[in-house]
Amino acid sequence: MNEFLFIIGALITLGGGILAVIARNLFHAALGLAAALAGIACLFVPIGGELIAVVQVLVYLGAVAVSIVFILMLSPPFYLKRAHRNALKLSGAVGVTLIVAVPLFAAVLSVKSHGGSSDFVPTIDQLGRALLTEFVFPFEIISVLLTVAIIGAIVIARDLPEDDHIMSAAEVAEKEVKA
Amino acid sequence: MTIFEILLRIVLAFGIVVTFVALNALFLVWLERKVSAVIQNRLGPMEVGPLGLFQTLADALKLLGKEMITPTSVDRFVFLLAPIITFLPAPLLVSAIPIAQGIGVSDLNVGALYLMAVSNIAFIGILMAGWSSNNKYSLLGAIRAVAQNVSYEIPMLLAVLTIVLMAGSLKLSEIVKAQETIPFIVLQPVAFLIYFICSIAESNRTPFDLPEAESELVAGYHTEFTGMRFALFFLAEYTQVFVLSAIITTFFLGGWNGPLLHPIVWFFLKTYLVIFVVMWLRWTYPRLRSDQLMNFNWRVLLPLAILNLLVSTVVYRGGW
Repeated sequence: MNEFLFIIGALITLGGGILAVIARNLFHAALGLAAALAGIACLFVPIGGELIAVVQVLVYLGAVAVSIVFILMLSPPFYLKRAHRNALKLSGAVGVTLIVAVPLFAAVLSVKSHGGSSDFVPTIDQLGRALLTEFVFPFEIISVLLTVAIIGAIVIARDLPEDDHIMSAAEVAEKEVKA
Repeated sequence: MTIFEILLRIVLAFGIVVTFVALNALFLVWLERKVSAVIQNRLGPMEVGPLGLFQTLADALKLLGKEMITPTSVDRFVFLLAPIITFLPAPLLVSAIPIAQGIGVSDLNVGALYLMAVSNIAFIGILMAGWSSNNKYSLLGAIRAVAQNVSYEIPMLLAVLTIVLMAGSLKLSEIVKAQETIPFIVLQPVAFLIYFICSIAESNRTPFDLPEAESELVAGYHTEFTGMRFALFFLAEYTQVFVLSAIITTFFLGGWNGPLLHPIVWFFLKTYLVIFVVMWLRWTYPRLRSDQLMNFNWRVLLPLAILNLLVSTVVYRGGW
């Protein structure tokens, strides 16, 4: 049963990943990404990582929906003709992929397989204790990093010309009522 | 268990859940029409069956027989997939809810988080529907749905966290057991209010029905869908109402706990009572404006939820 789940999860992940990379339509690429992330959630279930699987769905699928909204907002309309992928860009992408993939692949291969599923089932209690004792330092660093990211995003989004006052919806409504 | 037995169990459980989802939706549509009729001083459906009980069955059969139109300029693949993705979370959510001690398809260790996570999948489906329809009303509706869901999810999760803190477990059956003497609505009235408001917003019902505001957006994200595809959106929406009420029953009203009557009866009694309140709200309040919606969430609900979590932690886990 576990192998069965693993194979299904792996197929969804690979299929979604391939779609995310090769789709010419950005919307389809984002959907492929969503499928890949859901597939990864499936992979956590057979090794007893129920919590991680659920968090994966909770965090990433929500994030994909938001990223789709950003895609729709920031990309040119899909009916316009898009530039072809030239060889330079393509080779650059392949190069970056290789730089990341080779060490990653080597790292994965260097880990000895424990063979089959272990009997160890992590509880949320243990996880919480581990996060706040043994791993408290990396945990705090990630928190700081995320805070920096949020503040950075706000700063970038707020960077408007002085006189370009954007009316809030309430102000617009007020103005309409007066008019 | 062999793989065959496991597959048989999966198919059986899925069949039972989907049958329940369909029957429940038929009943809820009838109930909604009756509730709205009573509130507006009308009779509602009366012709088909006693008190019009079979009216929705007749409507469903009519919908099944209708042609499914696929407009020419839609993104075909996404358009066909969207109703299925939107409907998918409904049976997945129903199967995680414990109806009584030991009765329920599956009682997960991470049940409370699972419910929050799986209900997220629906709005990817909504976004797919809105975008693939190639229609400005659909797209606007879908984007409103995403904005609304993403914002209201945060206070909702904080309210759930308060409940998890009280019960000391993410397992839904444990959460119900923790309420054997006093239901959490008494101990956590603020969390209950926050959760109730947020879950109505997540299910896109009035007063939070901006994604399908018929006076501005025709029918929002499902404008272009016909026949059975439209019915799937409808089914998903009414199952979501059931699920949100069942979750509120589980988290706040003590689930199957209650004197005299059978636990299953108690569970459904409480759930349908919450459903009635949700319908009552729909026919009583007007729709919010977009900015009111966002202001209310970020300036009222979110600070309140954080404060409630802090106070609850100090009071119930502070050690004095």
